[in-house]
Amino acid sequence: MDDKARAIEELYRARYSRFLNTLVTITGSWDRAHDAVQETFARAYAARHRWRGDSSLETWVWRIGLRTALGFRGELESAHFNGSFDPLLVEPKRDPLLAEALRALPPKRRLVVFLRYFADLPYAEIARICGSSEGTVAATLAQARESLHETLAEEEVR
Amino acid sequence: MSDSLHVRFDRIRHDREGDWQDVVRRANGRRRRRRLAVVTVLGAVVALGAPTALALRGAIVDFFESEPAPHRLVLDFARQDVGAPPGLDNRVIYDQTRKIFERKLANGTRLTLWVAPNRRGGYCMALVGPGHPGGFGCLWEKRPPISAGIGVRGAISPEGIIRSGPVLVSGSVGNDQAETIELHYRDGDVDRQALTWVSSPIDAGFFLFDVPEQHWGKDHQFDRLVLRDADGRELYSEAIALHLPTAMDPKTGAPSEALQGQARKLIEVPTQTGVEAALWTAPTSHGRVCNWLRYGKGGFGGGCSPNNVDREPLAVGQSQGAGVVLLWGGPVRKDVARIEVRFEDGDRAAVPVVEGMVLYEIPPEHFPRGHRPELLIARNADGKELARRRQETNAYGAYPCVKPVEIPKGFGERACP
Repeated sequence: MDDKARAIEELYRARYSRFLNTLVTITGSWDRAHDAVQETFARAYAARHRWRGDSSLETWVWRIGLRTALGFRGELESAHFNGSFDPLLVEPKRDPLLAEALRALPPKRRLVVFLRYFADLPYAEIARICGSSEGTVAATLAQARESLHETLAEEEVR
Repeated sequence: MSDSLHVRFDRIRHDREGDWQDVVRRANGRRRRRRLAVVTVLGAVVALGAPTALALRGAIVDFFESEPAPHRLVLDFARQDVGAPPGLDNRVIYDQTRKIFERKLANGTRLTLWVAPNRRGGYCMALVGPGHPGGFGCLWEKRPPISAGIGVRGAISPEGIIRSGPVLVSGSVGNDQAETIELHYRDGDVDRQALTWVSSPIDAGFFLFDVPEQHWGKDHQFDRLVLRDADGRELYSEAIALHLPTAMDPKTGAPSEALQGQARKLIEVPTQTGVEAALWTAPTSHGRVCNWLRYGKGGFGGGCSPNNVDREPLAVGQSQGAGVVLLWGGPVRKDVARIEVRFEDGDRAAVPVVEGMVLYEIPPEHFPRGHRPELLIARNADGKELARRRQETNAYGAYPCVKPVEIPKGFGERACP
């Protein structure tokens, strides 16, 4: 097994749940999310020689993951981050207040929230995945937190 | 990470384990698909000069681009797991059922092969068409080189002669170098076809042979399947034979090869329904032994086997009739003297083994949940334990009841709880 293959396997073993929890907000079901994660890593594994190292391996795989998940929704596989999508909590009953607060956010801002809180990604990684600047991500997250705070009312979100 | 939203998201996050081997298998499938796509394009160019050499290039189906199954078929796939005991369910991902190919048989019938992935790492398939409700089959994680099934849709005589077709040999292939599959016949004829390869998450090739009528007769039937690569090299072969169902004597329920003049009743049980259950045995003219179960005037089934085959210590199963459940079977291993049945409520029963055979009526008070057999233990004549097997106790439909209920997630199906 070559170094890139090993790195992809390590990333998979360490991050499977984070990918699953994030992509399920796009695919809408755990089965499809699992398939999306498997397909994401299969694509990355098969095409690993195309990864040049100009972004981190994790960023590269996340980009594949988001495209794959969008593809699983029946949209074009080349669907861009700016395309139409509507990520949501797949089990809103587990935290109805949070689900409601998230639903009030614009879809793009919601995805940034999921990348931050489900995928545990730092601002810089989210920026590279979304093709924006770190400052934009910071501002987007600040606005999202503000909005969540207002909707959750008495809940402490800061 | 002082942000309290992290705490909130952590509470609703699922922690699960993935399946890396599945990733690698999918990745290899992708590579193979690309390779085949290139070969196919090159083949089209070469074919101008050598059309026959490439006549059997197979189709490649991109699974997620393929036609989704209609709703009624998705429900059929979903129902396959309804009531299945935990651990034995196929966990089919029914909402991803897709069309793989459609074939027209010699009699004009059109059959469609539908496939869905399952969460066992494999897939489930059904061949469906008019008058052909579809044999449903699943493969779990391991993909054998060839997995084939035989279907005789027409009439079979009591002597085991096929009177009418179609006779189908269908299945899937897990050897990813295979391009074609051949069906060899005893008379030397060979049918050949290209495999239809399906992308991940299926990663398998599929085939369907409509066996021509001249190959229904005993001396002309198929006997081997062979896989070949793109250069015609043999990759793998395995024997395949048509085993027609054992014909039964309609009066006695005995297998047709049993010498009924020598039949003996081995075990009889007067069941609580008032009907007698009995296990019968008889030799055949060529050294085999037949055993069959009768319940009143009807039969539960039976079969014949060589006398010297390896036995399982707990080769018994359960059959259910109106108001009766019988634990029966055999022959069990020769050193098994009795089988102990342990019930969920602590009751126990010892069932004697007679000439390798077992017959026991599960008392009706042990039909409800919480009272069912949960463990079988094979013991020798000294009482030493030889083997044990857990019994499924929560499956729907395994025991009679007064009022069937709707099975959870059962798409409207009802069964005894």
